[in-house]
Parts: sequence; structure tokens; C-alpha cells
Amino acid sequence: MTYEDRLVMKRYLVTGRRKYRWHDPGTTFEARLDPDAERRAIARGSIRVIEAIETKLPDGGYTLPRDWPERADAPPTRDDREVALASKTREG
Amino acid sequence: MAFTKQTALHDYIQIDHEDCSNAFRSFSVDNTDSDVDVSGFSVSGNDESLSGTRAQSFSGEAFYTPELHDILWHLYQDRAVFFMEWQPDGLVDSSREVWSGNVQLRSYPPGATRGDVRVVSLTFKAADDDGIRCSAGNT
Repeated sequence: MTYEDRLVMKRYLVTGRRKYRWHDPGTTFEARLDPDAERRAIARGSIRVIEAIETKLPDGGYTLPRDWPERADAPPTRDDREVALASKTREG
Repeated sequence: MAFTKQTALHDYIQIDHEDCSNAFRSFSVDNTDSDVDVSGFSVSGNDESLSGTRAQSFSGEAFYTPELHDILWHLYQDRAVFFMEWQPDGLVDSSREVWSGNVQLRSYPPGATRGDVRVVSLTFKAADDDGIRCSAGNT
């Protein structure tokens, strides 16, 4: 399961006649299921995917806390550039 | 102190996350350690042994029905590793201990005897090194 997969949850409807993961028939639940278990459950008619829910903040849809320090206005020093470069190297 | 004795009537059994409690009429979990002989020469001549490998499995007798077949056949045919859970009295008491693990169904022998109810004996063997665990229920 990739990092992106972990950010996607799905809403399921229990379509079978028995409880699925303790959820009653006809009810919905949200979960990140193991792909194989999900495939088998859908194939035998136990559950159905209603929608995928991506757990992310919308662009610009968040604000920093009120007491968050303001952005520094001094030009970056050599240390700042080295930290940024090291960070980029680690990500790459 | 008295022990809480009870008749087994309300056990919860889950196969591949599906409630299959009503399909079973008997169920058990088997935990067996092999016996490793470490006996040496001694004055007493007594045997010595240590625990060796551990084998774990669920087994039970289920009613052979189309609904259970729909679940089990594909698990057996695909050699699937799937989650299984047993909670004694779990349908009425969520605080009871829970036995669970990833297992495989290694044999699937449905059959019939004229005039008798259709049943199938099933054994689910632990399929990963986590084995079958026993954890506390919801308190």
C-alpha cells in the first residue's frame, strides 16, 4: 500500500445479508480496506463502494494558528541555504 | 472462588471479515508446540524436553450451505490468506477474549449423508509469523 493509497478512504455499503466487519446489512461505513479483502468482498456481493474520500486539505483551505510567528523578512543566510539543500537532497 | 461456567451458544466467528457465526455448530483453536528432546546422560535417567515449533489453527464443523460455499470456495481455490476471528460468547459479550489471525483454508471437503444435515469439517491454518493471537475484548 503506497503513501497515496493510505490517504484515500472509501465509503462502503453493506449489501450482503450478513454483517461485514460488524456492520449490519444496509448500513454504510468508511474504511481503508486491504485491497485483496476488498476485492473478494465486492466479488461475493458483501459490500459495494459508494465513494472514495481523499483525506487532504483543499488548496488554501487552511489557516495557520493566530499565535504562529510571522514570516521572517531577512534574506536567507548561507546556513539557511545549506539546510534547504540538505532537505532537497534527502527528498530526492 | 467459582468459575463462570456457561453453555456455548453465542460464539462469534468471522471469516474474511464476514459474520459466519450462524454457519458453525462447533469451533476450536489449536495451539500446539512440538516436543524437542534434549535428554542427556544423567543419574536419574529422566527425559528432558523443550518446546519447539508452534503450530496454530482454527477448526470447526459448519453447515454446508450455498451461502458458506460462496465464501469458502473462492478462498480455497485462490489459496487466499485471509483474516479470521473467533470470540467465545462474542455475539452477546464483547468483553470476551478474541482469537484472531491470518489463515489459509488448506482443505475443503464438502459431502453428504442421506437423511443427515449437510456439514463440512474445516481447518484454517495460521499463514504468517504472527500466528493466531489472543487479545482482550472490548471493555
